[in-house]
Amino acid sequence: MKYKVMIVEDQTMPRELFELRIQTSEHFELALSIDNAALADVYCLRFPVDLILMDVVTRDGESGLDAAERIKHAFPQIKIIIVTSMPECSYLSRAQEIGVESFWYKEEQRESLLDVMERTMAGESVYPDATPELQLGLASSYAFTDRELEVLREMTGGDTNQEIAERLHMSVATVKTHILNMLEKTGFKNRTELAVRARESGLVILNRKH
Amino acid sequence: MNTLHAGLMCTLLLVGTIAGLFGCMSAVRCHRRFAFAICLAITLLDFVPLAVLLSNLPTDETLCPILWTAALLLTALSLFASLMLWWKGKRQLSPISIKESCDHLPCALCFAWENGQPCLKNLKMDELSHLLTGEALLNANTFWKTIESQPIVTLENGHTWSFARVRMTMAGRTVYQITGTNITEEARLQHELEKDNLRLEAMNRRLRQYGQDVQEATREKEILRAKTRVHDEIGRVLMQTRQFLSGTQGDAESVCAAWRQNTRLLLAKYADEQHTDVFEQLTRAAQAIGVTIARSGAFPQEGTESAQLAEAAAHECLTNLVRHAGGTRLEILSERTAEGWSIRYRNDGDAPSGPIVEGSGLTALRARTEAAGGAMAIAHAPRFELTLTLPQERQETL
Repeated sequence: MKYKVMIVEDQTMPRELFELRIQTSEHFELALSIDNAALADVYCLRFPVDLILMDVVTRDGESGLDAAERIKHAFPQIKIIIVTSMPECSYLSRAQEIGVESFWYKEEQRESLLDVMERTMAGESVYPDATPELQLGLASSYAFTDRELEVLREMTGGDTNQEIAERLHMSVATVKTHILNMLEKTGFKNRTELAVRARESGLVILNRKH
Repeated sequence: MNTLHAGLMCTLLLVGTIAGLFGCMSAVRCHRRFAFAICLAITLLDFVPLAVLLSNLPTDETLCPILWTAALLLTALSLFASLMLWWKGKRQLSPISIKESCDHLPCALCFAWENGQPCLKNLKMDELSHLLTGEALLNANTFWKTIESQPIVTLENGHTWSFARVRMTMAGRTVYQITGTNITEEARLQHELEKDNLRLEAMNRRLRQYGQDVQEATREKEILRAKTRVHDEIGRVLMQTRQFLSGTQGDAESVCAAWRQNTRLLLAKYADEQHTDVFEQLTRAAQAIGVTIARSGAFPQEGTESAQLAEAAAHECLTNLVRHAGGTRLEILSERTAEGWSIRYRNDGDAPSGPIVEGSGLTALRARTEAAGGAMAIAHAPRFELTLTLPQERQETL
């Protein structure tokens, strides 16, 4: 018996490639492909699905992680693999918190997707050791603390220190200190350069939907 | 008493009289009435014997020691009183010293009675009044009227002054205090800060736009990478075909299979689908699982908070209908009300056996609705019905 797979991916090309790999595999068959993560749980109501390949940023900005959380709640037996090309560091920890079985970076070809799918169905949880290492100015992406990354993520939204402080429940002085520390580490001249480069690298991605 | 003694005593008494007069002057300057009276008395006590002595020299020698003692005492008292008053006067503020210190202040200052007559003003205030009105400050009310509408003035010399007026009551009388402060440096910094803030705001706007553009660019990059992969695949198949045709390697079946696989990719439409609204997508998903969503009435504009809540509720009602009620039709009736929107959700599934126990989905929906200023009501009899009452949507989109 082949495992039934649902693909949640809004880009036609990667979706077709996933479909191709599944159709040519021995152990998997395609149940359906959809482009909006928000509707994935609706389809699960009728379609017998064993495994979901879930992209993080899907159609209309719907978060695959939010959808995974809903599905894990309503259908705990369905296994989920998060597939993403975004190096955003919070995705990995969020996926673990939700209880997603496996996580696969599209860019890192160390393990093939089919391998990860098979190991996941065999009951294994396959996670990369860490997010892909990026270079931000003079610093490695590993050089930032969690709190600094939180501030950095909010900075990419173009908010003032005051607004960032309110959202993260810290003082304006703390926000400033974090920004200064990051400027020192990266060697960037100003906060705008820092925010632009961070956003460009994909190290932090701000999702304000909902 | 001989002439020499009489001359010496007259000099002594004269010194006492002059010292007493000096003391009187000091007492007047310090506004000390009691001290003035004492000094006047001492002066007179010095002057009267002096006058008597000058008009008629005493001949009785026995009086001499008494006269000398009295003259010495009176003169000493007079000198002591005048010195004390002079010393006190030096240590005490006089109206003149207040005026002098006011003139040294860097700010402009004027105190005036209710009718505008100044009771104390400094040189700076007069100087500014000259620059602003062309004359010295003669009436504080007239001066204030000219600057009241614009109390922050930049003068021709480039300096900026800020004026303020405070009403005070002193000893039962109303006094107005007008102060002028030189804020040239602050004004310059404020101006620079405003310019910086404008620049920052523009930069932040560009940054937000940039954030969206990067998302788009990342998607494009992903597509390009996939296209490259397809290109490689096709290249590989071409190579395989060539090898087969030249008879070196491969068989017709595997070549055909490879082509079939790749043409499927080539035939697919890579362009992104046209935009369809969330309700449309939800309706399609419902159809796929055998549920019809019927909508009637006017709905909130897409992208608004109300529309997002209406969609979230439809999603929740759809999943609950399939999971708990086994129905196949979800009806959504929306209407505009005076306050905003009223949206009702009904279905054809089994009627609930009792009150609905709100799970995580409904609880989250209720919290979001209430946070947006709306209300959510759920009825379980005779049929399930969920009603959202939403306020007038805000212009902003979430």
